[in-house]
Amino acid sequence: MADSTHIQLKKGILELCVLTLLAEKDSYGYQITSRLSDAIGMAEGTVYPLLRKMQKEELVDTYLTDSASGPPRRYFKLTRAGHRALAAKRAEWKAFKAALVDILGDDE
Amino acid sequence: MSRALFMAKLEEGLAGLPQTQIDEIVSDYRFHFAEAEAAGQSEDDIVARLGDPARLAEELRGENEPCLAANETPKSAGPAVMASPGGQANRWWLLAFLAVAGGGMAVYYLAGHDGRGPTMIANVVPPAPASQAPIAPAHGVRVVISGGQVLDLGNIAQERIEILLDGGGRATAKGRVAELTLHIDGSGSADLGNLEADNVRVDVSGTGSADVSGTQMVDVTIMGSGTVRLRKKPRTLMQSVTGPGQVILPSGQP
Repeated sequence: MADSTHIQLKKGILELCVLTLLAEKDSYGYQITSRLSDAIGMAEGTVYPLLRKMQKEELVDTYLTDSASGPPRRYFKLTRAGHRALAAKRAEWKAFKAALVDILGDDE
Repeated sequence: MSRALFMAKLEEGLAGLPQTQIDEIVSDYRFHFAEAEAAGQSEDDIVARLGDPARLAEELRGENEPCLAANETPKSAGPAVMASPGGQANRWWLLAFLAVAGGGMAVYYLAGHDGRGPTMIANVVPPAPASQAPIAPAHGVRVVISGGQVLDLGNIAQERIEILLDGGGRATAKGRVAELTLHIDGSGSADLGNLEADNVRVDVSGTGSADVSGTQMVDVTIMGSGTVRLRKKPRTLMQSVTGPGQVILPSGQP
């Protein structure tokens, strides 16, 4: 139970992170996964199921480009619905964070 | 583990899913291998960092069950309201410029605050790139209000404006635009009755409400119990209401 809550929480945060990174700039898969696994210490492979889910929900879109060196790259970009989801999740996260700070106190 | 073995285990774990889905998933990881190799990673490292293919396959099977989207929209209403306990006086605002999303559309995110210092917002909103000053471009502006803030946009003269309200916030504006697009995803309200627009598109999901003034074309989509009130009667009105929500025409009756 506690474990599954933990996983759900991490998944939610992961999605918020991916949305945020893609709002900054369009990125290819490895850019997203390496950035996230460095920061949160998670298996890089788990980002792709999420990206696929987000594609299905039409939050992200993909396009292919030729890169100067090496194989063509597939970029992910945020759709308009993705921007909306980002705004919504950001609000949720802020509310959640504020609630936590109320209970745990602010370390600053 | 080698790349070939990783792929074989992944495919083994996905067996039973429709072949098109398996192909798509496999291509995700093919791209990843190619991109990571181009970045100078060794095959062993790439595999190690990807994680256990059997477990990934299990997760991918889970994602392919039809349980998405439905729980997505209403979720935003609750917590966002919680974020604004009462709308007190000692509140300040930060308007952070986040990204230019193509087509000359500037994107603003508004993050409100209750006087606890800026660290919380700084953590949440990425800093503005130095090269992009928050000036309104000629074509249009997108304003995102997530939370319980009240934002008065003042007197507007724009070609296009898009307002996204994703919480219990409130937006007001007057003036003139050619195109107004408004999304309300929670309990927010938009008082745009004095903002005259040629064409208006509004979608409300949740309990939000909007006052708009469109002269040419107004296209309203309501999912939930939201209300859209029209100040003027447009030449063309399109409406789609799912749920107890309503569109109120200038004469007063729905």
